[in-house]
Amino acid sequence: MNLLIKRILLLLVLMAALFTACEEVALGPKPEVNNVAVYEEYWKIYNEKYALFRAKNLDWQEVYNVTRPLVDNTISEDSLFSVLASMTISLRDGHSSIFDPVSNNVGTFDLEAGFPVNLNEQLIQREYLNGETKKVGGFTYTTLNGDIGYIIFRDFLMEIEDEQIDEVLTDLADTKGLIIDVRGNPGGDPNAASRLASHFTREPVDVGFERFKTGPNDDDFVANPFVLEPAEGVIYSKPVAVLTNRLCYSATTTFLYCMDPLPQVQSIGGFTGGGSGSVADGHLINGWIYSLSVSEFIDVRGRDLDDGVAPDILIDMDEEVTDRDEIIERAIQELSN
Amino acid sequence: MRQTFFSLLALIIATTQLAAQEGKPPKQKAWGFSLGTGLGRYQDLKTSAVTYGGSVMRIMFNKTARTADRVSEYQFGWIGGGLNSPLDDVTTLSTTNIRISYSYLKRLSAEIPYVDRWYLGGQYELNSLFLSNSSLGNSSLNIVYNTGFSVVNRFEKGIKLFGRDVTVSHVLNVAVLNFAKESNSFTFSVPQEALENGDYNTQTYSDGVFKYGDIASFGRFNHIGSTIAFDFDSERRSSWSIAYSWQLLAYTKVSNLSVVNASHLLSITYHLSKKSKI
Repeated sequence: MNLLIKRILLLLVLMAALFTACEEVALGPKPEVNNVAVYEEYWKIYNEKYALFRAKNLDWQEVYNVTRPLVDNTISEDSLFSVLASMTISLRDGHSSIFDPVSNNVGTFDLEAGFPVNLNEQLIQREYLNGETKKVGGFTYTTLNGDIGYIIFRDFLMEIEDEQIDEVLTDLADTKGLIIDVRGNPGGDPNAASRLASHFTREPVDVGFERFKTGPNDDDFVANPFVLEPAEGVIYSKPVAVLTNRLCYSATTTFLYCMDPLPQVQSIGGFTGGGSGSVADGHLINGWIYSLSVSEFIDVRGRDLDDGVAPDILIDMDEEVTDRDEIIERAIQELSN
Repeated sequence: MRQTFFSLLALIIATTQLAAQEGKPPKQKAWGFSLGTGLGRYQDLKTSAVTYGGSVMRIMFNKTARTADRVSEYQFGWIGGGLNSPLDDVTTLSTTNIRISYSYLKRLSAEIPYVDRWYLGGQYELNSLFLSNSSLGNSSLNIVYNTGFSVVNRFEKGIKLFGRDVTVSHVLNVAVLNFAKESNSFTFSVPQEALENGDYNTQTYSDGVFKYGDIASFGRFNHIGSTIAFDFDSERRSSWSIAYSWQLLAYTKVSNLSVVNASHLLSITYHLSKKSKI
């Protein structure tokens, strides 16, 4: 190999080494991965980004004081996971979780524990969907008692088009009132939730504001007001009852707080699930995935929604009753008056 | 510290000199099609301190016009690939970088030892970097846009390699002033300005490419590229070149939580000249 080629190769190697060194500076120091470092990173992420300490009335420093002594570099990975999971559960927030993608272990708050189910799908199928029933996208709908529209929507992850909502509301235009059953709907796309709600108002409506965590300091919050704009398609302005239970969560809470200020709307059923905030996620230095709430929604009544709220008419179903859904029956009664 | 380092780096590379012989600049227009492959690295401190790495490839078209005293070049390039976590086998990311640029360089009359031709000029670029992390939910996608100006330094030298005339060039471009925008904020998947302005709501929020960005310069927005190329000169209309390229983008929008994307690429380019006058 002649001298020139050797020099060229040397030059290329030196350049690659120089550039890699430059990258290392831009990337910063490589974090050390051990139990204590993972714990400290997890605590710090929540300390800087979590938006609901005030709403949850939780002292995160106190959580540190209790859990930090449980962690050192000799405990097992499972033990470390258990500590992080216990910290997460203490937030009482279904949007916050810790997940190990290798073992598939998940640590998160059990939203439904201690609350009645308030939903029996077989009962609804048997007693209320036995007549002419239609399906449009994720909507299942029929009429009850001849003049009450009944719409079931169980998943805001399903795509909702304005045209689908127009079709459903056009079919139910001659009803004197409408039941929208979103019980058991764990959420999905909040844009879909607000799109559905926008078909129930003819005027822009102030529904509250979302306080986002915008920086690492305790007071780095900015309020983003939300005015619900009316849809351009079919608007249903007759009385509406929205049915709730504890599994009404996340984007379904978005739907509920958008509907709540509308004068013709009342909510009926069980205590809701909450989950009002927006969610962010990421990887810890050991590869575990965290998820947390980075905002909270304050509705137009000034309520923190994240722990869930009682509907306008709070009813819990009697599980012994198998021939009628007491929440639907109460909604029919309200809409018939 | 970082600013000083990058300044020193720019200085070192700008003074890189290539050993070779005398040469004569051709006058020509040429189109090039380039394929490259190499290594990529990515880090976004807003979602993780983990640095992801893997193989990337590049496809690039360029059109070059040269006279005795200037070089201008249009480039359209795509770099993409799959990156992995160093911690497990289940976390994979995909990265896509689309870049359009125009550079205009004037030849300087100053003589530098071992360098035949020295050019200095500027470059305007539109650049977008898409990063998708399928293991995440709301934070799975991050997009960095930038458009702005760089200074470009180019050295050329003619050498004999394997008995053939070869033009060796080294091009260094350093971003000076850019309009930059990142799709994710300190916490959420909308730009920081959107949240700080109170503009976000789930129903009507939307942002175009050029909304919510800001002017960023060296230190906060660093975009450096370096390419050393070996052009195998030919009397025919077509010719080949091989190159080693490196580029680094480091953008810090909020709270020192940078997005860093880097790639090292070896590429081969097929050139087709429309005309050539010596």
